[in-house]
Amino acid sequence: MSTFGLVNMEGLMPGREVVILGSGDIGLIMARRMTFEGAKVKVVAELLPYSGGLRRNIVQCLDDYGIPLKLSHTVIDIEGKERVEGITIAEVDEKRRPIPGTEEHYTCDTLLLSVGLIPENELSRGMGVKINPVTNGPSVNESLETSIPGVFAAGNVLHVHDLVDFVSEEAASAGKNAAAYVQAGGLEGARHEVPVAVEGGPRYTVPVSIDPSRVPESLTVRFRVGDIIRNHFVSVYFDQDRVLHIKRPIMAPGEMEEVKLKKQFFDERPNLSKITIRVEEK
Amino acid sequence: MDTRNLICISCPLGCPITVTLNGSGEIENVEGYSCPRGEAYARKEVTNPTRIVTSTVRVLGATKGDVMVSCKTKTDVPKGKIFDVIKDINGITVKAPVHIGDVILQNVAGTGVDIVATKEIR
Repeated sequence: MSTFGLVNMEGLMPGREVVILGSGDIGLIMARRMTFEGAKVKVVAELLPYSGGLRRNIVQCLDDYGIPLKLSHTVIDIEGKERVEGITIAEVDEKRRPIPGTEEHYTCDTLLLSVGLIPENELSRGMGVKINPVTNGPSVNESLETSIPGVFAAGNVLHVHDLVDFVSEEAASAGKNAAAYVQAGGLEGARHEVPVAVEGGPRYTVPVSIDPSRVPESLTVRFRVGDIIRNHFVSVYFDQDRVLHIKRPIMAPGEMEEVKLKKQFFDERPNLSKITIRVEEK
Repeated sequence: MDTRNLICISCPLGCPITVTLNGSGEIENVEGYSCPRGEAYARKEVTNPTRIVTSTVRVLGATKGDVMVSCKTKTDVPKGKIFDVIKDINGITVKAPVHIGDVILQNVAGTGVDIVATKEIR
């Protein structure tokens, strides 16, 4: 069971002096959670030069409690036999190799590894649902329907979210679409699937394809960028037409982005063959 | 004269904001923000910082084996009261059933704010 499970579900504490590796939202919130339960969180180390978590969580989970965040640092040694007794972290260079001479030692009885979430898709894989290698979740269309008709996906099994609000929103639309599917006795006819491509920053989109005839009044497309991008625009192209152009002062891998596509965009372009989400300078 | 350095949390930009206070603790100057939300955040954070506190309390008699129920302060509480709130929360046990929104502790740590459940426990 995860530490979150132990602390939040079972009311058990795995230790009293803690070092956390990984500064995604889970690592950050865990630092505050352990502090509330009486532990001393000594440091949060992050391999990357930026945190993958929300800014709010860095301030309200670490800064509020004086917990240091060491960017471009990783754990290089763990001491102890029956139980962790201490760890050593070091700064890493741009190729993520530890830099000799930067080692720092911390005594602790617990090392929490918060090194990324992967959607749990054993069930989907077992059914033969097509998995998107970027998200490790099913590839879905506008109805959040997977490659197997009648199988829908939403939430962290589809792609890992930052905020539960969007999980709920996605779940509601998957549920609505699943209900419509059942009520119609399965959807008939060949689907017209317009692929959604990405350029210039986004790593993936949910959904990966859109059937214009099944688009609601407003369809949300979510994506993440792979790096911190400043002062760019998120543009949506329907073939060559730019239908959306939104200025974004900053985008970060830790903060999911979204664009809302209006039904009208589709109605105006009956011969649509490709949608592109492009991050561009102007 | 006193200066406070903050990082704005209103968006991922994370502007570093410096607030200067005069001898009587009044705001003299705010700089470093790049939008009105940043200035408002900095002013509140320096004069009256507040947080919603989330935690768990022990629950007895749950039919499905739950031992903890998640909870939060109904509204934000002063940041300086967080550990008093946590101390009060850790001292209580509730009995199942518990419904989302049930008040499980009134006026936590004298803040005038109640602790409410955020999970259904049968």
